[in-house]
Amino acid sequence: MPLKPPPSPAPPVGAEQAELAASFVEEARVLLEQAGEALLTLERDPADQEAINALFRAVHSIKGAAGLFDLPAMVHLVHAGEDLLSAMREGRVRMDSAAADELLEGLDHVGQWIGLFQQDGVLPPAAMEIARRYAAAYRARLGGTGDPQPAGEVATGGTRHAWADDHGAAIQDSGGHDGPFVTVEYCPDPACFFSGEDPLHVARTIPGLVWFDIAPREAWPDPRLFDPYVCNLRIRLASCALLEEVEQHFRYMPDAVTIGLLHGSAPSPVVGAPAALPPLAVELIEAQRSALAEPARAGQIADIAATLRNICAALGQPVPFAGTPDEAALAAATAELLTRDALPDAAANADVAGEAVPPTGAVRPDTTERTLRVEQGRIDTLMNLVGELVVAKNALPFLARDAENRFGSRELAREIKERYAVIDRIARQMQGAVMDIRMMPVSDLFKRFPRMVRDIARKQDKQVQLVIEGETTEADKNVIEALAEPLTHILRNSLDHGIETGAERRALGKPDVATVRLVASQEGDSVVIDISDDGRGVDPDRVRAKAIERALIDAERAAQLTDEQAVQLVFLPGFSTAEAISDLSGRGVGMDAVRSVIERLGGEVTLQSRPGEGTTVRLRLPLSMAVTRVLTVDLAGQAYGIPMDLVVETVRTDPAAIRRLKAAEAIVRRDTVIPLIRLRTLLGMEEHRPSLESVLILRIGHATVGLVVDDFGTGMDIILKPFAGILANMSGFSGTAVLGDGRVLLVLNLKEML
Amino acid sequence: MPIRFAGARAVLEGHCTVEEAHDLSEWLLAARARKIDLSGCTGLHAAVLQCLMALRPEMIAAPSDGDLARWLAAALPAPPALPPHRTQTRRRRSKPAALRRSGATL
Repeated sequence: MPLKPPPSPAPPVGAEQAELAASFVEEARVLLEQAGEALLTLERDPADQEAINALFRAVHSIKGAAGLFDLPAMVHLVHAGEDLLSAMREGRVRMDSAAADELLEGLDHVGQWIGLFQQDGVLPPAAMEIARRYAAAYRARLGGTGDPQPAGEVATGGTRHAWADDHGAAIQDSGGHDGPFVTVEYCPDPACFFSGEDPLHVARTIPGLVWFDIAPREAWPDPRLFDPYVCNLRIRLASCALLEEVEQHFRYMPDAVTIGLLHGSAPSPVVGAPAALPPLAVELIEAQRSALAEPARAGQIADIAATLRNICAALGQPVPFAGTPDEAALAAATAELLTRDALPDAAANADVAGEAVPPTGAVRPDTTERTLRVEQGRIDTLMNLVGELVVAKNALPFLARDAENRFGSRELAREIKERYAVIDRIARQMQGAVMDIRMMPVSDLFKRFPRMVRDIARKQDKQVQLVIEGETTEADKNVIEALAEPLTHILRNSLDHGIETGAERRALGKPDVATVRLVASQEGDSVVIDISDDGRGVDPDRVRAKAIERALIDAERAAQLTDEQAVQLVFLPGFSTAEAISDLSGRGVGMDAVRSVIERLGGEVTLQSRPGEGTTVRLRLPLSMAVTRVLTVDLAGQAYGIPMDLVVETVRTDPAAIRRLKAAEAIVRRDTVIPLIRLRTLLGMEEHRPSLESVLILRIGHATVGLVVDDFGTGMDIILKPFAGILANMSGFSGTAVLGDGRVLLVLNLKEML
Repeated sequence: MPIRFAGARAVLEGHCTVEEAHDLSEWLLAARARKIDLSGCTGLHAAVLQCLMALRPEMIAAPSDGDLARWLAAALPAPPALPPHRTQTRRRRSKPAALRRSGATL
C-alpha cells in the first residue's frame, strides 16, 4: 500500500466522538448486513450487476467510515476485499462459492471487530494478523490475473459526459458519496419558450440534484441584438437519483438532453495523471470531508485538521491551510486536495464558463430519506404512557356516573361524557400512531436466514434453496424480535432432520435441490409464519416410540393418538428425535422451547407432516401486544370482558322468545336459529332469570352463538395482561386488565370455552 | 406586477414570468447604468435569467431565497473583465451600511 492509514484523529474522548463512534457502529452493521445479502445473491448469480454494485458500495462505505477511527486492521481487510470486488465487478475475477466463503468470513470478522470496537474502543492486536491473512487470500485470487490496467473502460450504459469526469470531485463532494451519479446535459431548444418550457424550472426540480452548472450555449450577442425569447442556455446537472427517475423527469424534452452516468470510481484513476492521489488517500480525505459535513462536529475541527496534515505529510504534498483553520477553511482544503487528484491540469477546466455551485440546504433533503432513529426504550416509554392514558381515560365514564348518581348533576355528567369522547378519540389515534412506529416488516427478521441456511446446508453437504415470501408483512417489534430464536430453531430442525442428503433425494426421485419455504402473511389480527420443507416429514410411529421411551406418554395413550396428534408430541419438553446429536440441533431443547416462546407471545404453533413429502410448521402470533377493545358484561355483580371483535350484536329478548329443544336453548333472529349458551352455567354459577334476557350474539370461527349474560356494560380499551405465575395455566380466561376505577376485569377466552 | 421600475433600478418581486423578460430587456437596454434588486424575488423564468446573463446589469441585492441565489451565482459569475466595476460595487455596498451606522450614533 502506498500510504499508511494516518493515526486516529483522536483517542475516543468527549461525547461527540462517542456519538460519532456509535453512529459508525450502527451504520457499519447495516452495511455489513447489506453486503452479506448482496454476496449471497451474487453467489447464486455471479452476473448480477446490481448485487455486485451494492456489495461494492457497502464495503466501500465501511472502509470510508472505518478510516475515521483508529482501525487499521479493519481498513486493511476491507480495502483488500474491495480490490477483489472491484476486479469481480470488471469481470476480471469470477465469483464462486470458495470466494464467497472467504468474503463472508472476512465480513464476519469485520462484524466481530465492530462489536469489539463498540465495547472497548480498540481492536485486539490479533486483528491485524487476521486482516493480513484475509487480505493475502483476497490478493491471491487477484494475483492470477495480475492486470494493473486502470478501470477506465467501465461500461456506463449511457453517454459519458467529459465534463462530469472533470467535475467528478465536486459532484461527489456535494453528493456526499461517490456515486454513481446521473449526469445530464440539457440544451433547451432555442424556441422552447414558445412551447411553455421553463428550462430553469425543469433544471431546478430534477430529483436528487447534487450539482449544477449553467452557462450560455454560445457567447451572448451584442446587447442590441439580444432577443430574450431565444433560449441560449446550456445547463449541466448531476443527480444522485436513479437513472429512470431522471429520464422520467426529462421525458418531454428527449431531444434537448443527453443523460449519462458518472461512476464513483471512474474519476479517481485519471489516466496518466502523475499528480493523482492514491485512492486510499482520496478515501481518507473524503472521510474527513463527510465528517466536516456532520452536524455534530464542533469538537473535531482540530482532529480533522490533524488528519489532513498527516495525509499531506505522507504524500509529500503541501498542506493547504495554515495554523488552526476553521470549518470553512477545512472544507476548502479538502475540496482543494481532492481537486489536486481529479484535476491535475487546470487547462482541463478551461471550457467551464460558470463556476459550479453545489447546492446545499434546501435541495439536500430530497436526496436523503427523512428518518429518525430512536432508541427502542423511548418508544416503549411512550407506549406505556399511552397505555396508562387509556386506563386513566377509562375512569371518566365512572366519574360521569358518579356525577349523576352521587352528586345529582346530570348536566355535569353529560359534559364529562362529551369530553370523554374527545379524549377517547385522541387516545385511540395516539395508540395507533405508537403501534405504527413499533411495526416492523418481517424482512428485518428474515434477512438473516439465507446466510444461515446456506452455511448449514454447505456444512451438511445438502443442497437447499430458501424461498422467502411475504417479507413486507408487518408485526410489532417485540413479536419480530422474539421470533428470531424459534425460527432459527425450526429452520435448523428442518435442515438437520427434515431434508435428506442428495443421494437419498435422488433415490426418492425428488429434485436434488431441496426447498425450504419461509412464508409470512397477515390474517386478521395475527401474523402467520409458515416454515415448510420438502424433506422426509415426521414419522408418527417414531415419534410415538420416542415419546414412550422417554416416558413422556404411556404406550396405551400413544396408540390412541391419530398420526396427526402423534406428531404434535414433538412439542413436549424433553423430546428429541435426532439419532446423533449434531452440533446444529437436536440438543433436546427443540420444539418445546419453540412452543413456549410462541405461547408466551400469545401465539400458537402447529405442525403438519406428510410423510415423505415434507413438514410444515405454522406459527400464528398476534400482530402486536396492542390494546384490546372489549365489551364488558355484568355477571352477578362482577364485570367480565369479551373481545369486541367477536361481538356481532347485543339483543334484549323476552324469555318467552327463547325456544327450547330438550336441554338446549335457541332464539331465532332474522330467520336464523342461534343456539344460546348461558355464561352463568358455563362459569358454574346459579341460574338467574330476569324479566328480559340480555343476549350477546357472537361469531366464533364460522359459528354464531348467543351468550346469555346478566347485563351489558360498555366498550373499553384495555391493556390485556396474560396470567402469570400460578395462574398461568388457568383456562377459560385470556387475561386481566385494570379498570379506570381500580377494579380488575377478567377477560374471557370464549374460543376456548365454547 | 413582479417587476417594479423605480428610477435606475428594477425591483423584481415574487415569481418573474416569461412575459416580464421582454419589458426587462427593453428597460435594461434603454440605459447602461441600470440596476436590479432581486431581494424579494422567489423565482425566475429562464428567459428572465437570460436577460440578466446577457445584459449583465449590476445586481444591488441577491435573492434572499438561498436556493435561487445559488443558481443565480452559478449563472452570473462575478465578471472578471471589469475590475473597476467590481470595486465600485463593493464601495457602494459598504457605504449605506456606514451611513446607517453613523446615523444610528447620531
